[in-house]
Amino acid sequence: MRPFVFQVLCVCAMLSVPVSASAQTSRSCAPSVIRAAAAKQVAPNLVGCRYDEVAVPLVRYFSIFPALTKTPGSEATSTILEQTPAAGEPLAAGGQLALNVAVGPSVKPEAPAGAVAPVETETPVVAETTQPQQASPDVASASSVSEAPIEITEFVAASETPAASALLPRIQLPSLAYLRRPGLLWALLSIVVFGIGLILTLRGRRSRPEYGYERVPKVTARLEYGPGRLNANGPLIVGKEGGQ
Amino acid sequence: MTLTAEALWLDDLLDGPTRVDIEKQLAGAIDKDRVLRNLVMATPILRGAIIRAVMACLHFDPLALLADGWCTARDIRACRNADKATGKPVILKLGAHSIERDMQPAVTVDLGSEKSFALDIGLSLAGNFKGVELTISESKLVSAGSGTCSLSLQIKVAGRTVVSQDLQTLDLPGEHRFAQPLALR
Repeated sequence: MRPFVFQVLCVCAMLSVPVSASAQTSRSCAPSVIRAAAAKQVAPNLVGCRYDEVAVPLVRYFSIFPALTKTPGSEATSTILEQTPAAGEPLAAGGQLALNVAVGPSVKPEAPAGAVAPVETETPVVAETTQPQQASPDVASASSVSEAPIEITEFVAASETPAASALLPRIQLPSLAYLRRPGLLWALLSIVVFGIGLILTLRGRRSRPEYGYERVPKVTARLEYGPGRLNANGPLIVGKEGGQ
Repeated sequence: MTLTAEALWLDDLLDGPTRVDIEKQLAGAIDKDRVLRNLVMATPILRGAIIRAVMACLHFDPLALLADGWCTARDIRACRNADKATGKPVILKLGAHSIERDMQPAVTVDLGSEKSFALDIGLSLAGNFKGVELTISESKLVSAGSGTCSLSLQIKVAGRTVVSQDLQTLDLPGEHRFAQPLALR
């Protein structure tokens, strides 16, 4: 009875722990899916995923720094809206992958003091890439005004100018900081305690070996007979009746 | 002792001390086998089971066992076709003689996997017959009777007799039929 109460308390503790955002990753955005796609050399289905969740697996398994197109909309920030090539199309390691990433409602970036005045626009669409080697210090082109989403044409380094860096979308790569959350720690601790309670419960229910009828060793014996040895001091047959 | 038909069993002829001697020698034979000894140490219930199984094997007709000596005797085999001409059974009257036959118990232990062991113990059953008549029909030994039989049992370990016990002297009835006719060979 006591282990059962123990398990119920553990389950309650686990349910009380809020599930972290990283645990809500859909299956198509999981690193294992991207890894499987890399093995097949086809583009994974990234539409609907958060960029900060798929960035590291893309670099790791495809060796790709995707070219990003920032598009305002009602979608949550960092949500991938489109991808080129589409899911299932061939995509080799080190290839070109363009992603259209939502940045949420349109925001008017504030120019920092002493910086170049930012460009006022209704649709601040910025093309950028995370490949600083191919970046071109062309801030003007990076902040160019356009009505439609811009194709990925220019690459801007984040450290070029404060104005440019203010325009860049804040894409956060996943970190291991969530391991330091007390909630996750409690969840792991609850799982361990629950497992111990489960083991104790099952161990108590396990049938113990007993010397029942089936456990008695089966022994069969037989006698191996030798040949019969007949000894007679005199004649063996002393009389005979019947026959010839 | 007057023998009645189909009521002769060797284990009925064993008295208490003889049974104790046999069980004691069986226990010693179990301890001599290294593998069997380890099995018995791991499963103490095994020792009694082995002894009971071997003792249960002693439930047989001693005359049928000793009749093998008659079936293989050259003089008796010479008469196996004597009844073909007349069609009537042949009755042979035998002089004093003795028949001895050895037995060695072997056990099979099933503890998840079967293992067979031949125990280092030998049982030798001897019978001294006087005035016995044998009935032969169709080349088979059908019955024996009309005589006396002194049975003795010997327990041998490593080929040496350690216990020799006279069991009983039986007064055979006029006809003691075997359960199955024994072929003369």
